[in-house]
Amino acid sequence: MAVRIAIRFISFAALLYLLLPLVVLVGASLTTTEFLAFPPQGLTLRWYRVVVENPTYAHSFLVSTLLALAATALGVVLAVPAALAIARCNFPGKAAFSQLLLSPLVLPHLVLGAALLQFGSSIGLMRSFEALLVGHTVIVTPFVLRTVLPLLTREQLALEEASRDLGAGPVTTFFLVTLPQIRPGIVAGAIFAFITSFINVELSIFNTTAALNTIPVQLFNYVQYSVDPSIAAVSATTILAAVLAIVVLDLTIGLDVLAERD
Amino acid sequence: MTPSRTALLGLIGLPLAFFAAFFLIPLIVVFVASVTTTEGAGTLANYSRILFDAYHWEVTLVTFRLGVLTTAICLAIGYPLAWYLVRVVRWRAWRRICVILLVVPLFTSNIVRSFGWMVLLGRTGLVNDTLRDVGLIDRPIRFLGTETGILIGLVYILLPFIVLTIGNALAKVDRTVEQASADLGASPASTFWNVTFPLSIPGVVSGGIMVFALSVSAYVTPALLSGGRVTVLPMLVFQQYSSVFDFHYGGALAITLLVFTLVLIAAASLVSRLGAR
Amino acid sequence: MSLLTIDGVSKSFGHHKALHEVSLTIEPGEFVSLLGPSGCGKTTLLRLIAGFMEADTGAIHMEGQDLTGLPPHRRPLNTVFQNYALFPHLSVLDNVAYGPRRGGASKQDAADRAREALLLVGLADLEDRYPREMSGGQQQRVALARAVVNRPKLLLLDEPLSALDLKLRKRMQIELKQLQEKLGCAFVFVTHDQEEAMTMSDRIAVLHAGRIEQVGNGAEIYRRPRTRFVAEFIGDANLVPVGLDDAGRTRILSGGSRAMIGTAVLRPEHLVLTPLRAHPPVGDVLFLDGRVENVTSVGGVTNIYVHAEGHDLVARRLGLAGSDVAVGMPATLEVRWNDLHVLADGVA
Repeated sequence: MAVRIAIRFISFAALLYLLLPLVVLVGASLTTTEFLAFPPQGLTLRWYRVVVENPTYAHSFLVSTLLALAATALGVVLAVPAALAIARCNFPGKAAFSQLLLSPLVLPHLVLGAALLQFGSSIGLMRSFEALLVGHTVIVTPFVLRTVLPLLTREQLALEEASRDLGAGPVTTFFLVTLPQIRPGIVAGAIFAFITSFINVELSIFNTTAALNTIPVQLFNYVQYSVDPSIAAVSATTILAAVLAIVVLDLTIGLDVLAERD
Repeated sequence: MTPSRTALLGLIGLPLAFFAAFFLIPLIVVFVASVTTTEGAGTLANYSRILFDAYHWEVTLVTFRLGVLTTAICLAIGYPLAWYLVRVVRWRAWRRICVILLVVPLFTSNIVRSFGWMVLLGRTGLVNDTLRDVGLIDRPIRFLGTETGILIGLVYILLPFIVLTIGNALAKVDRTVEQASADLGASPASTFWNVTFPLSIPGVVSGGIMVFALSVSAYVTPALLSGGRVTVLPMLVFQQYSSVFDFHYGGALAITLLVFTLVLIAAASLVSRLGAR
Repeated sequence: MSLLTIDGVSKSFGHHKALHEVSLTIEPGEFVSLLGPSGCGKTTLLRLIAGFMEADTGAIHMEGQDLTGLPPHRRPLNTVFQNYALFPHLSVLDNVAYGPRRGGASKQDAADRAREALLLVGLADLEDRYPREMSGGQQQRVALARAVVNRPKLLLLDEPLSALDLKLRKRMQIELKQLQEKLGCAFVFVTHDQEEAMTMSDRIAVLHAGRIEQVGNGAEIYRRPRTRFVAEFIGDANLVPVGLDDAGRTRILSGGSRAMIGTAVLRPEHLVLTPLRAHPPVGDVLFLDGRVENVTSVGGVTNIYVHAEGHDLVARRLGLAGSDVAVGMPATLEVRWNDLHVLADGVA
């Protein structure tokens, strides 16, 4: 009995702990004071207007969005053929190939960012949108690969063989049979990929400049020097966007990963 | 299926070329730089500089200590929470809300999450205010710029990982095996320690190692919550690359961090593979 | 005193009533099968006895002790689970020694008793293996050894043979029965396989839709099924309406008739195809006139489908069909009155 109470107590405390910073940021973004205050003193949306009217934020937001979109698109283009090869073909070095494409999931992004900066400086690919894009593509590709691979099952192979048997060529088969089956994996992987790119700091930080900055790096720079409620407003916006993305994900692929299987 | 050589090349050619050019080669470049001098001669001086310098030992020790404490606290909180979500919660909607609560932090930038703690842990932040109102302290505790503050932030960022891994392991435990244990005369506590806990160990170990690896390689959270007063290994790497521009010495630091993490990740995947058998 | 008394036990899951006022007693050393199709409530009843669920109403007593509210680990009985539920992280020896260890036996003592139980099921040389390294049949034996190591007076078995192939299942049926006799402990055996129940049981309880339809030994249940469900579930049955004639004697009715008093079972092997149509029925014999519709031979058994006096009947004889039977032939079936059994719930 005591154990059960302890488990509940720890769990509620932990859930509160997880929720607290998010609530604080949303709350602090509504304060009427010039400094961060929680609980907020008075309620106003003026810090959101400050953010919207600040061209630096608008520009970084544009950079982050374009970067995330481009990296995700490139990631899909790289990951889908790779997944097909891994699931459908036997070739020497297959294990190493899939390991190579999946390893950015676990590697410290800071090290990868540093490596890309050093390598990029020797070939002239640095402090540019393209330099950011190649790095982001490397870290988002495994997300798509990981969600697409499990959908390329044996049953799926039988469908593809049936399609070939009925006279469709490999390309036609891919678009008419394979693609519709793996689309949920591509969508889920693309969402993870977009978010991973959108919130990245450790990789971007090496290649951003004052004129070319992503939202998280911009925030990182601001937070280290001055703190005013407009930063909380930007943070709160990203939190709400994250909640929205998660609800969409939950409705499309289901996130109840902790439900017991029968 | 054995496809033609051209078809296979068509599928893997582009991903392979891209990852070779922008992932593998850059890492090799870093490694090469770490074992050469500015003139291009081979040397291990960069590594011995790390190895024989008291300051580096100090930084490594702080990094390591933070990693160990983060992992221990994450496990201590994460196991009961995972248990609660998998075994105690019966109402699906509530568990869904809890899982969303777990995943939201993963979908927001480290900056935002750490920034939240900067606000909370300040001299006049909510935490200090509450502690003072309750009467536990007279003067505000300094969290920012201390290892305690970094620890709170790291645990916050990594807790979802461990809850999801342990929760997954717990959800996979076959309930009839626990019933068999009860049937053979084991009390609920005895069943937990003799059956359920041993079966969840792969999740605990791989989750723990994952958290440890992520906490020693974390940069943003320590950078924000340390206020420049505490230094960890990733901060040294960043300094070398962003302000000192010593790619040789920085490379050695980066490789040290990389090897440190990779060894742990390999151990984690080995453990989970052994457990899956 | 009875070993186990189940008294008016009911259990519902939401609106679904899984068990309805079930009562049953088990005597010491008895082998009782709970037989029925899936969803009949047999597994629910077993789980109630084991304590993994509590009944809504009614009570279960073991040797006079009320088991209500007693958690599974305090109940003096053991279970063999359907999927065996072996501990994947423990060796075979540790799996079997688990019970004695929980009962407070020393490590050495528990191991000794586990080895003894493994010897009993013929697995003495595999004690260091892990469950995943064993075949289904071997896992089954480990589960059995683990359940009997504490020498319970009552063993519950939840379809323990269902995952095995036919040949192995037949062998295990015999071994299980021998083991039960050797141990002298009572078995409650859940199965949906009537043949399995017939082979092993002292008594069979037939369950249907949460109720016990009939309890009895195999012969009783086969020869004198109480209800239409039992008649059709156990073996093959021809069901025909019966009524009274003017003399007040039971006779088979052609088609529906208001004189119907019930339904009777005719087992196919009791229908004899005769070439001769004897004169008015003599003594205890009855004739049915009709035409052969189909003939099938399976192995050493021939089924002859006859449409006779408005009923589709099947007769069975040993051996292949002879030249005396052919589709389209007129045929007469001979039945002895004694083989006609009227069901209790016959009136439709």
